[in-house]
Amino acid sequence: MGKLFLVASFISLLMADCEPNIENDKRVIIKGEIVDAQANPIQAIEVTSSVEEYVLGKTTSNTDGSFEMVAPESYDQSFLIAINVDAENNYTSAKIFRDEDQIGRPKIYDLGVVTLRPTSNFTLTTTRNSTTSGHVNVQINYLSTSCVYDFNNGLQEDPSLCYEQNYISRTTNEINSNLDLQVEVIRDILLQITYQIDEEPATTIEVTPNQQNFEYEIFY
Amino acid sequence: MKFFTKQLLLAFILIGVNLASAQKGEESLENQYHFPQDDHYLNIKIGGDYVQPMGNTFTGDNLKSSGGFNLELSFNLFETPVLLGARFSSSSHDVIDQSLVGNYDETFNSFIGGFAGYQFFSRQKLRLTPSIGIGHVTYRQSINSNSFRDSGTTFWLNGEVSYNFVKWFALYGNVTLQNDYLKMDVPAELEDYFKSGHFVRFGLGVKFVL
Repeated sequence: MGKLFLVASFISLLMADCEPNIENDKRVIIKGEIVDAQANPIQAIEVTSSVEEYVLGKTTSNTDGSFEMVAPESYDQSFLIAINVDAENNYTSAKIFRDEDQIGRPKIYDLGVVTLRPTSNFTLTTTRNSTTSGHVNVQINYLSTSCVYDFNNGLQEDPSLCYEQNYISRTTNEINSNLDLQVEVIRDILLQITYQIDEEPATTIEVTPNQQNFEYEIFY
Repeated sequence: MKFFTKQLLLAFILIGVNLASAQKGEESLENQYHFPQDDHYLNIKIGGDYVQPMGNTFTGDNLKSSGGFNLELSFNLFETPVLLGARFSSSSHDVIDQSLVGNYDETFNSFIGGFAGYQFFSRQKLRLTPSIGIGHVTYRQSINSNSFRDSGTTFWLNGEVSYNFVKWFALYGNVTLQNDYLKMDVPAELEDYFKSGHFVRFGLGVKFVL
């Protein structure tokens, strides 16, 4: 019984050590303003600060796009400020990491103006209407809807990590002869669909999703 | 808040002066007392509190009232009515607006410290005991079971009425004004909001006199 208790205690200590530390006697302010590409304020966008799975602070933007919250602080490397990370409002998201080497440990995270872009729920379906065609391979090349920033006395945009090129690829088979691909893309930004029916040459078309829900269909 | 503290302190002083003069005037009635000269040295108090956050800082502005717990140990100094003791009190409060403090819905306030008091009518059934104390206070919070704390120094003023049914057992009621001064590291615009916390605690419990 005593040994079991010791083992349990040891395991508890190990697990406790795995948790990122939340600083005692410490609070920070996280504030900023969220606008769209035309500088119009965006309201009801969720802003969180977190370390690993622990959400330290949470708020939503006001009608004028501004937000401000008080949150506990963590100096763990995984500290993250996330804007619209669940992408629930049909806007892109932003993730902000602290550049500790440059700025140390700020008490105020003033993000300034953060620009989000509207997104579109893009759906590509393929429908087989030919008895001769065997299968089709489809690839969608699009820009991701997430932008990553470093915080260094303000928001520093890192273009290499902003709206990165992304793709999704699928092929039909005998069981699933039709495809239904859904992906969130940036609205009004061109995307490419490349498809190849059997061994025929590949065809590339360009589509600009300009609605909140945008559908495109390929027949083969 | 400062006004309220001063008012309470003034009330304590006035009550103390009145009680002291009343006690002096009634010395000739000592034989009527139920209890002879006490030979006790230890008082143990256990009770519950109704705790109301106060002030325009994070306590009064953003914490809800709740129930609490109180435990005290004290002894009479050299058989005089002067009491010295230690006190532990705790209470748990729901947070009203998390964007003002952090993403947690509850804070657990507890303090432990020493106090000095004076027991009026120490040989009668009904006794009055004002006291003043100082100690260490902690506000403990948890986010998904990952806990952290805010801490500092607490000062409290306490007024107590107790009724002794027998020599060794009494019921007590008390009011405590708890003032916490925290050592928070916060941006300048949050200093006033987080530098102090205030509560008034209404307590009821039992006292054992050993």
